[in-house]
Amino acid sequence: MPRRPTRRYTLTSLLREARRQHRGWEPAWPKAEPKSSYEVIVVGGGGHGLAAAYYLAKLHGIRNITVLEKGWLGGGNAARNTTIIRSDYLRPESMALYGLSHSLFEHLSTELDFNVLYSPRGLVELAYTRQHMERLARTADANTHYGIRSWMIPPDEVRKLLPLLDDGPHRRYPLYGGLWQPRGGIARHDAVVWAYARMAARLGIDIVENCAVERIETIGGRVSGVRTSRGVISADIVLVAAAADTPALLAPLGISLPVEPVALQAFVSEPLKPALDVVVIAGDVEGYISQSDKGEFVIGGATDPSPGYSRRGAFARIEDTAASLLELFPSLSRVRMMRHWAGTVDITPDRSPIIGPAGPQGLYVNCGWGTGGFKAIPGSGYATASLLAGGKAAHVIEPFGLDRFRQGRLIEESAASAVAH
Amino acid sequence: MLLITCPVCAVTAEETEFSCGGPYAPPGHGRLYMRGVVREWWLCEAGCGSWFGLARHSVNQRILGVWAAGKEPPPFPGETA
Repeated sequence: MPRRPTRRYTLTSLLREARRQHRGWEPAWPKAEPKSSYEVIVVGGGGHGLAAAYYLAKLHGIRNITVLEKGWLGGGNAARNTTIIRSDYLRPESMALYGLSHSLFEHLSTELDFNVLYSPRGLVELAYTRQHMERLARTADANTHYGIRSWMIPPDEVRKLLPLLDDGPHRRYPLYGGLWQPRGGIARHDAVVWAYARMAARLGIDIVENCAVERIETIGGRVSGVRTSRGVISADIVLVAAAADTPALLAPLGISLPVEPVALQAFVSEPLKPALDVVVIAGDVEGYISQSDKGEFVIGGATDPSPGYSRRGAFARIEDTAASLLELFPSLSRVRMMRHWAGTVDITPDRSPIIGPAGPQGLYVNCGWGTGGFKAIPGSGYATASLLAGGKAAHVIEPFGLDRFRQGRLIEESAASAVAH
Repeated sequence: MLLITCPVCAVTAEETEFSCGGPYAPPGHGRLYMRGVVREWWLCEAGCGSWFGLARHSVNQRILGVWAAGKEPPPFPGETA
């Protein structure tokens, strides 16, 4: 007798499925066929698009939604980052947005019934110059003022946190101290995407993979839908969350987005025994490192020297990033790198995202996350859903509208970003 | 990694010896990066110090041509004006 498929991820369901060789699990999300019309179309099945769709359905009761993804879920930047979560930003607008996101991460696994392996292990940004020390102190003061828990720590405390850190006579730079965020950490990036997709699908949202949006259709100053590789789909509201491909979709409508596509690379080492239990960011040597739960060192550096969509990554940056890793931890010099990848990040002039209405009525964008979009997925989705549905959290992202570039009201985060990109 | 030849001093070197100056357009007429052929300003930073034009494909990174300022070539195959 065929039994009902297992949906929830619990200990009892795991035991039950173990008894029947795990043949009863329901797919995390079904492969949906696009209908001809929806209330809301989300272009881009990355973290931001899926989270926005999920919160629209969950909190605002809008369930007639489709998420259109050109490739497969978790194939873009959602799976091409170094999974760092922090909210120690400099500007009040950024602290509100990233702070909201950070607080949503705290209960995300429960909310989405999916273990996203959120690990708030603590995050330290190292300062090897006086200037960097002053910049971090300014950030710490701003954080304290706006209720984000972070503070400066002296070199002795940094050494206690990082026994692996090179502190011998051969070190190149003097360590001045660091900015410590005790709830900073990492999470499993694929799991965040899968979890949002699974819960969104369960709320009735159609997730359509392998469906490329070719253009956005408008009628008389209103958005009417999208033309895709699988036919025309109509909707009154279209949210474009397509990262570095957003400008090309909006250009035919006469909307110019100041977004530059650049490859950003990351590396994963062979698994080692636990040796590093905090996230380390060192802007002075242009590197950031954490150790995953599997024991692999996850390493990132600066963006590539020239723009492009190649996702290939320049060799010069591989060398630079390895050098910055060894500057911090020379004892890792014999560790072998297992995997390497590049994502096309969408960098804006002020290193802050672009979220809000754009041009025709009913058209919204959520892009320009640049090098730090993963940590913002829950908050961005939550606030974007609120913006689309006229909810109360929309004020969090209102400052991030496209009009800020025309008004000269930039949310300048390049000085406070972990690594100068 | 791009291998670039400067059209002014004819030196061939890796892209780290050069510096990308963004889309090839007059100041204030910023052009967007798209998938496809893009024209850019490049600086022969470690060489002769001249700015020159370079056309490449933004997805497969193939360089289609370089030129000294003022000697702009006609559209390349696949290039939209």
